[in-house]
Amino acid sequence: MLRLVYLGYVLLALALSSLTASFVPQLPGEVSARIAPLFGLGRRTAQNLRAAATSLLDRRNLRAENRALTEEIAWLKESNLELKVELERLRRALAVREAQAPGVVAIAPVITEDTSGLYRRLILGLGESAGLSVGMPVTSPDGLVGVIIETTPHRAVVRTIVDPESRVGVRPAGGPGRGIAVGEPPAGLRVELPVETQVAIGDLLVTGSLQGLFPEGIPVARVTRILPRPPGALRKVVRAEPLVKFGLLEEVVVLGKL
Amino acid sequence: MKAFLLVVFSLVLQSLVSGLLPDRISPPDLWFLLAVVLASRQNPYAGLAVAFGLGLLQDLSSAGYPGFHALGLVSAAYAFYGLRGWLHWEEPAARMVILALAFLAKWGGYLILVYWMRYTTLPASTWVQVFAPELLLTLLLAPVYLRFAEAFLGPEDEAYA
Repeated sequence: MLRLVYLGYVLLALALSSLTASFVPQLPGEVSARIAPLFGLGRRTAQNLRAAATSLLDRRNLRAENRALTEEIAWLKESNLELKVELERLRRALAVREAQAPGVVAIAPVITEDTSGLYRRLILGLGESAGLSVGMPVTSPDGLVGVIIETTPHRAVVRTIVDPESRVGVRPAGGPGRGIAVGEPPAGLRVELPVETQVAIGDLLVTGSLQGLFPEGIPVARVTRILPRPPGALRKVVRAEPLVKFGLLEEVVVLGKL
Repeated sequence: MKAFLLVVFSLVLQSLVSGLLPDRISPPDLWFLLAVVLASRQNPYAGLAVAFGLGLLQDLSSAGYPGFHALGLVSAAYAFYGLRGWLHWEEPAARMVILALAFLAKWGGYLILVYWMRYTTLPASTWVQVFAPELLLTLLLAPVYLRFAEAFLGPEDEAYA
């Protein structure tokens, strides 16, 4: 019996489809349009959900993009900083080249100072592989630093002008009178000048030895004190303060040997 | 009243799921599941009538010719009643087998009407593309939907179980 009923429905379906297609083909569309709101509710909900999901995904993309841009900005800042440092180094090198000597070999970072209280030496981050060798003058935009006394492939030791073993030929910047500046740790110089030399406190002393280790005219120190001259003395002794603050040095300029 | 609410809910859910899925994926057939659920709670004659009515509503809502989905759902309901005598509808595994076979019967009904109407707009490739994902998604959704429907409608009438 159920089979007959089913067959009846089959025939009814076939008849309905045939009749509708033949006589009222527009009927399905009209009915569909009328009951569309019922299904539109779910459809709109789905669209809203999809839009929300898309929005969330976009937001996640924005977050990722924001993160990438932040990283890029950080990289650019770092790069900019490096460029600024490099520019400053080049400016200093240029200043040294213009003011002191044309033979800049390298700009070397100061890694550390020696730990003894007696000596005053610096360790540079460049060595023989960068062309550094013993006897090269080391300077900075502020003034003379010292001379290289030891090298390894990647390091160099600088004896500063305040090292007790340091001897620098100097003269007053504004007049004649060559003398010797001997280092007096921790931060002073003892300068012996000819007794005829006209010098006063605050005068600038520059390198001035003939055929010495250092180029002519590099600023070295300022006179801080003129010691009383004992009777019969052949030298005028003054104390001077180096222009370079060794504790603040980050980079130095290494000049070629004369 | 509960059955009517379930129909409304199912139809809204059908459109919701259809809208959520990408266009290239055929959605699960909640009309089919609804027809089976209602058939499982009716005597066979009423169940066939309900299935046919649902199919007509689906035809009209989709602007199709009346009879296409009606024949599909009434075929599914008829297969359901036949299979229920062989397999236990209460057992989950058997339930899935019944649903799968009833689903095939639904498509058998479609084929009858397609042949009758000489539909040229439904080439074989379309059938293949729609059939597999619809069957898969329908069977995936079936356990959840059936459990919800049973909880919503309450205990089955043992007389027709």
